[in-house]
Amino acid sequence: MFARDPSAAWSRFLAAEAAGRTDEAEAALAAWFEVAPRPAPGPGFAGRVMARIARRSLFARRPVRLGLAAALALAALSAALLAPMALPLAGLVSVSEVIRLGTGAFARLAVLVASGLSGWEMLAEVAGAVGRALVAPAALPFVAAQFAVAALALRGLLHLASYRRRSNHAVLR
Amino acid sequence: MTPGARSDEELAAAASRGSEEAFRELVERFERPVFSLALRIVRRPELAEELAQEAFVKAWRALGRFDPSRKFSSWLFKIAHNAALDALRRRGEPELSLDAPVGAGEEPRPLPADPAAENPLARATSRAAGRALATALAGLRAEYREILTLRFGEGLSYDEIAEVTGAPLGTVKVHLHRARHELARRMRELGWSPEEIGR
Repeated sequence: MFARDPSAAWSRFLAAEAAGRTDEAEAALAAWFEVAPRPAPGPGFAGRVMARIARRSLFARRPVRLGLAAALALAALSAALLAPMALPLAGLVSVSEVIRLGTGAFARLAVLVASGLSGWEMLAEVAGAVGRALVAPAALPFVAAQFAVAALALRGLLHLASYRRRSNHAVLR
Repeated sequence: MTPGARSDEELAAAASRGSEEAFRELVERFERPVFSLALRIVRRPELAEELAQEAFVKAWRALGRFDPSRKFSSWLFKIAHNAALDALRRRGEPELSLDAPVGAGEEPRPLPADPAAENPLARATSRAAGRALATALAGLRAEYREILTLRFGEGLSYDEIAEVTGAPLGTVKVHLHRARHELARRMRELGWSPEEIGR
């Protein structure tokens, strides 16, 4: 009929509208809307929507939420348990030492440059104390668990990144 | 819908069980209608696209509450309608005055010609019709623009329009009647009168 002719559809609409034939007027107007080009979003719209959903979905998944909660609890527990082991570190760097380092920064720098190793010795002591605390039998399970959680989190991030790449690829096809 | 293709409601049910593939198909089916509805309300293509995305994301999150015995399109349009109105309220847009005329910077963007039109003349006519429609609609009150789009662009029934807009059925009918008259008047002003068409 007038499916692809906007002029005919419009004429029919006006005639029906003037004669009060509502149903016919509505049918003609619908045909006219059908003929007129319809606004459309930019290319790749569906891909952008799905990428947003994927980002939200990752953190909406129950296992991910449970994993995050477990990681937080584990971090808090580890901090509580490791704190006493780190106490010996407090004796290595006193407040006066910090102040002395701050106020005599230039002199210290000169000494460090001149002697080189003296500064490194202190750092080595600190690192050694931290290392000993971490490899203590009581801390090892927590450190291992932290590594496991970090590995899982990294895997999740990689999965998310690869999903976004797949989405972009789909858009470009 | 092609034979064998799943209905919107079937896809929604699959999506509510976690199928992103089913939801993507729904997005592809409804991206134009939802964008078009948002555009008719807010009149800015960039904002309309943002709102259309937001509507789909909200729909995805709310799929668990979708009743498959209802029409999916009405449910989705209601989400888009609410998202557009919320955005206007958040931004304190003058759009809320509803009677604001089209400003100088708000001319509707040119629309592409209908690619399905058979020949260059038909394509040109289609393009002219689309431009005239966009201009005429842009000059109408916001609720008239939306109601005309839902009724004639998307083919919703009066009841479905009432559900989407939250307006009483009587109000929908009155608005639609007035909107048709107003659209006809504006189109005549744009040269789409019987005399002009007959030349």
